Amino acid sequence: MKKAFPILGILTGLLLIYALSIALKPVVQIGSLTLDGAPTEQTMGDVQRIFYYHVPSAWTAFILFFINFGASIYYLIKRCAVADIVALVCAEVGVVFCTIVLVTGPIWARPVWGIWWTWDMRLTSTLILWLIYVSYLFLRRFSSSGQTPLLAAALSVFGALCVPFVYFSIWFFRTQHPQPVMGGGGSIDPRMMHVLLINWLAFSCFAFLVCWSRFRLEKLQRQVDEAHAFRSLADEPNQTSMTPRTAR
Amino acid sequence: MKTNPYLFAAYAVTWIIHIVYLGTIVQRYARLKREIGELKK
Repeated sequence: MKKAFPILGILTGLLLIYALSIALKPVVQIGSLTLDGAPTEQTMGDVQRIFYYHVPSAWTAFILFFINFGASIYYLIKRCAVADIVALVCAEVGVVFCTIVLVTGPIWARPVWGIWWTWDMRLTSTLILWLIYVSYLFLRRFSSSGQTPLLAAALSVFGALCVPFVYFSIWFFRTQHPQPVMGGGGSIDPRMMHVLLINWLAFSCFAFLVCWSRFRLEKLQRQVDEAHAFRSLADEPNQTSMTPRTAR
Repeated sequence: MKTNPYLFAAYAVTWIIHIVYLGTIVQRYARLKREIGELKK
């Protein structure tokens, strides 16, 4: 298990480099090997290549929020501490990916639409989704009540309900955002789809590794907190024996 | 391929966000290690 992490880390790193190279170039030359990269889009040009980071980041964030939802439901039913850690970790890493979506989107919109931001349903609902999960993380970070995991689990259920709304918002409302490339009215060149899926795989592996290390960190943090609590409990009888008992 | 500033900015920002987040994880881990060391004393 200890060796698996660095091996997976190296493989993910190589996959990320490969995904980046095919996202940036129509043809990739590695020694004598020639690989097909993403073709340049006719109307938008090279700026369309932001797509290979923007869309996989969004999909990864959605998957992490769904895992957070599943773990939160499990926690609400079973009160399992591991499920609570999984929920927290997925929300945190999901927020990182969702932040990337919200930052790369406007960078792409500026040269294509001529504006950085518009209060369009897809964009606004993604911002609301991000705000829900940021408030979830704030709740986890700053509330010291014993009920915090329970409240956070309830909040994450609302957050997860927002995910399908964000995805399907372009079906139900007139928006400036393009149609989804999967399960929607949008169409995509097979070479572009290949690059998109490779990038998604690379980001998913990366997200998994980050979640894994964050899970280990959170587990360790809880063990240290427990050790502190035991220590203060062990110190308490000595402190109480020092205080004089009041007379009746 | 000409370097498009928007494309470069989007890719750079993505990796900056990931690196900053990984940095916070490493920092938290180092702080926890120190705390464990103090607890063991």
